[in-house]
Amino acid sequence: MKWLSVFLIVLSLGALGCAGKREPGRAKPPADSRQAPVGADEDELTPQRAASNALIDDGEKTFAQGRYDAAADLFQQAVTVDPTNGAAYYHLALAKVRSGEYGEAEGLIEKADQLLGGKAEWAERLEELKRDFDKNKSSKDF
Amino acid sequence: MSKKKSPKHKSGWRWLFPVLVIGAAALGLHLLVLDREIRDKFESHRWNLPSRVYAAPTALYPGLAMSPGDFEAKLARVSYKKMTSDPREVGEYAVTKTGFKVYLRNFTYPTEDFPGLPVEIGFAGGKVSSMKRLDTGDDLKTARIEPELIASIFDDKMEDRTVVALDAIPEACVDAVVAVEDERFYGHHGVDPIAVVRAIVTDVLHLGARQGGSTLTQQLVKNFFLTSEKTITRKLNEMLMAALLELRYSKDEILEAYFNEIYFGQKGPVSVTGVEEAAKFYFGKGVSHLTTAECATLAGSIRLPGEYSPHRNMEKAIDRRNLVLRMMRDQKKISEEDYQSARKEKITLPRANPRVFGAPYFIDFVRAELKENYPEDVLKSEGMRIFTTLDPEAQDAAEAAVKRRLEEIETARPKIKKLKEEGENLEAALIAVQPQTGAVRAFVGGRDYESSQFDRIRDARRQPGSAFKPFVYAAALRTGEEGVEPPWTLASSVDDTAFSVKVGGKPWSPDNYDKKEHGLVTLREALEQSYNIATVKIAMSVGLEKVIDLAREAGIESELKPYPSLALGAFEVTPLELVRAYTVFPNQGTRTEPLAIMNVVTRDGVVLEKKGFKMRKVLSPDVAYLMNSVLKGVVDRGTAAGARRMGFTGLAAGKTGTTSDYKDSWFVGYTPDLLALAWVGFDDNTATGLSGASGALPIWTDFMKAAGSSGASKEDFPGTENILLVKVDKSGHLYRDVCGEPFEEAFLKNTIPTTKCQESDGHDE
Repeated sequence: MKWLSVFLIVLSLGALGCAGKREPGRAKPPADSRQAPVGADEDELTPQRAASNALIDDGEKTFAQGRYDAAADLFQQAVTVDPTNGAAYYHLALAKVRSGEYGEAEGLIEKADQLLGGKAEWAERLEELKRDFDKNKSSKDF
Repeated sequence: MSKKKSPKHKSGWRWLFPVLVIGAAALGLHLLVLDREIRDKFESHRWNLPSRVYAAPTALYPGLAMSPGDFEAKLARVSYKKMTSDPREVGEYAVTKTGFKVYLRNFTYPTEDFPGLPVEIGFAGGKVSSMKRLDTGDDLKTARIEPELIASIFDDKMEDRTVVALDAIPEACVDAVVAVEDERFYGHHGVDPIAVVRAIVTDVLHLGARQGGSTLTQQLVKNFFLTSEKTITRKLNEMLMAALLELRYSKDEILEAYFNEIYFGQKGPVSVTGVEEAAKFYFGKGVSHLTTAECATLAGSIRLPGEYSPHRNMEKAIDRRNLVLRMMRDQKKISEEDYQSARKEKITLPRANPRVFGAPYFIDFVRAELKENYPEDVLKSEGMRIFTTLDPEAQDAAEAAVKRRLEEIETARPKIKKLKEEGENLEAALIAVQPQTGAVRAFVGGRDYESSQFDRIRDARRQPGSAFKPFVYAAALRTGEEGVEPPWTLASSVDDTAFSVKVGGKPWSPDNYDKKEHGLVTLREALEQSYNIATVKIAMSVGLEKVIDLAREAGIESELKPYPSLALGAFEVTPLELVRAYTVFPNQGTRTEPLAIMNVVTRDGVVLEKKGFKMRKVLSPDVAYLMNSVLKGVVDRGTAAGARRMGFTGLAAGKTGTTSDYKDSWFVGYTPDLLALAWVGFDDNTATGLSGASGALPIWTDFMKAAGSSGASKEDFPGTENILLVKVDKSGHLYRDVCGEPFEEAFLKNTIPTTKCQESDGHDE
C-alpha cells in the first residue's frame, strides 16, 4: 500500500509538472540550430512528419483525459507513420510510464533521447520523463 | 345389450386411464427436458464465434506516396463498392476527376471509435494531394481505412458470424423476412396452423413447390437444436419447442436470435451465418446500413441461399427480391412508391470478398503467440478480435515474389527441376518488418502452406553464411568507440591472403567464394565483396568473443561458439532471429523485437492484451551509420548489385549469404523504412547451386520493388554529427590529387586517418 501511495503522488506530481510546462498548442520544438549532421534531415516537415504530428495532437487530447492506454495507441500510430519522429517516441514513452508499462517505456525513452537528445527545447522534458521513469520503476520494484 | 356392454366399457376406461396419466407425465417430463434445453441455449445467448485476425489499419494523409490505382485496390480489398454517383452510404466510393469520393466506414480500433465519414481524396504525382470532409468541407490531416480481415479462426462448424442486436437491424429487414418467411409471425404462438394446413395440402396434392410451413420460431428451433432429418418425431419436437420458446420469450428476443442464427450461404468452406455477416458478404456493409431492396434480397435468399445468392445468380436473386418486395407491398409494409423504387435498385456486389484464410504462416505465428494465454477452443469460440501489424499489400507482394522466383529457378535449373519431379520442392521464406518498430509487414514461411505447414521463418535452423558478416564488421567498427588502438575503420586495410589456423588441433583455412586471394583490401571492400579470408582475419583480430557479444545483444539466441568459422556464419540461426538482429542497422543501432500482435479485444470490446514496441540500444547511431554506408555499397557495387540490374533503384543496403555447398541462399536487405529477409533452400539441406545473389536476392528485389518504395525515395540513412565524410584513396589513406580516384569514406570523428596516400603508380587494376 505504501508504495502505491508513493506511486500515486509521484504520478500526480508528474502530471502537474507536465501540465504546467505544456506550451500553447502542440509543443513542437523550433528547428534545430546546430549544424546539420551527415545526411540527416530529421527536422524537415515531411508529409509523414505532419501526419505523425497530427496523431500526436489527437493522442495528447486523449492523454489529457487520463486515458493513457488509448493515448498510447495513437502515439504508437504516430511512431508507425513516421518512425523518425522523436516527439512520437517521447509521448509514447510518457503514456507507457503513466500506464505502468515500464518494460516498454525504457527502450522508447532511449530512442526519444537519441532522436531529441541534442535539442535544448526538449532537454527538460526528457529529463523529467527519465526521472519519472526511474522513480516509478524503482517504486514498482519494491 | 347395452347392459351387457357397459361393464366392458367400464373396464376399458379403467385400463386406459393410467396409460393416459403415464403418457401425460411422460409428455410433461419431455416438455420439461425440452424447456430446460431451450433455456440453457437461449439464456446463455452465446454462439461460438470465430476469432478474427485483422491487418494493420491504413493511415491516409496528404503527401502519402500512393497511386490512385493502389488506393482503389485498397478499397476493393476491404469491400468498398464503386458507385457511378456520389457515395451516399458507408462503404461506397466514386471516382472523380482528381481522385475519389469515399464514404469511409465507421470502425473501432482497438477501442477507439472512428466515425464513418464522407471524404474526398485527391491524388497528384503518385501521392495523396488533398483530403477533405465532404459533410463539413474541412481539410483532414489524417484519415484511416479500417483494418482488413486476414483470417478467421473457426471451430469445426466453420460458421462465420458477427452477432448483432435487433436494434441495429433496419425495420425493412425485419419486415422483409417476416413477409416472405412467416407473415403471421406476430399473431401465432410458435406454430402457424394455417401455414401447416397449407403445407400439408400443397404436399399431398403435389401443388407446385413444397412449402415448409415453418414459422420463424420453428426455423430457429431447427437451427438451434435439431438436425435436418425429416421425421414426424423431429417435426413434433420442433413444434413443441417452438411453442415453449414463445411461452418463455418475447417476439423480439426470438427475432434477434433468428437474425443471428440463420444461414445465408457459403463463402468457400465457411458458412455465412447471421444477417450481419450476410450484409457484409453480399453488400460490403453492416446490416444497419442496408436499403429496403437489399433487405429484401437477403430475406429472399433465406429459403435457398445457394440458388438465390446474387454472387451466384444475379437474375434469380433479383426476381426473388422483387417477389419479396411485392409481398411487402401487399402486406402493407411498404408503399407502392417505395416498392417501385426498390424494384429498380441495382444490386452492386462488393468488388472483392475478404479472404477467409489469408497469410497462413503468419496466422500460425499469431496463434502460437496467443496460445500462451488463450487455449485454442477459446480462440475458436469467443469471437475475439486480434489486431496485427501485417500489411496485406506487402503480404501479397511477398507471396507473389516467392512463387514467381521459385518457379523461375525451377524452369531455369534442370537439377532443381528434376528434384521437384522426384517430389522434393525448393523452398523459400520471406519476412519483412518495419525496422524502427519491429512491426511484421509480411510473413511467408514457405511456398505453399497446403503442402507444407513447416514455418521456415520461426522453425528452420540454417547457417546464415555471409549474412552473418555484418556483426563481425560492426564489432570491428565499434573499436573506434572503445579506445582500441588502432581502431578499425571502413578504410582500414586487411590482407585477404590465405592463412591457416588451428581449430581443435586441426588446421583450418578459409577460402573465398571466387577461390582467389585479393591481397590488401579495405574493410569496406572486404564486406562489399564478401571476402571470407579478410573477414575471418578481422574477426580474429577484433576478438571472436566480441563478435559473439554483439550478435547476442542484437538478438541472436542460438548457440554461437568462438571458432573462426563463426565469422562466416557457420552457426545455425532462424530467419526470425536474424531479421531481428538486422534491425539494429536501419534503426540507428537500436534493436527491435518482431511484433505481430498489437491488441487482443473480446467480442464485447474489452482489451485483453496490448503489445507495444520493444526496443533496446545495441550500437551507437554512429556505428550504425557506418554499417549502413558499407551495406549500401553491397547493393550499389558489391555482391548484391544484381538488385540494381533487376530494376531496384532506390536507397537500399543489405548483405547476401551463401553457405558451403550452396545449401542456403540468403539476402537480408533494407531501405530506411522496411527490412526484409529472403531465404531459399531445401528443407533437407540438399545443395541448390544458388548463391545469395541468384536465389534469395531476386525474391527480395521483387518484393521491395512492390512494397518498399516509400523509404527507398530517401537519399541516405539518418546521419549523425559524429560522422564525417573524408576523401580517401583506394588504399584508405587521406586523399591527395596525385592518388588516382578519390572515394568519400565515412569515419567516426575520432578515427580519421592521419597518413596521406602515396602517389599512384598508374598501375591500378
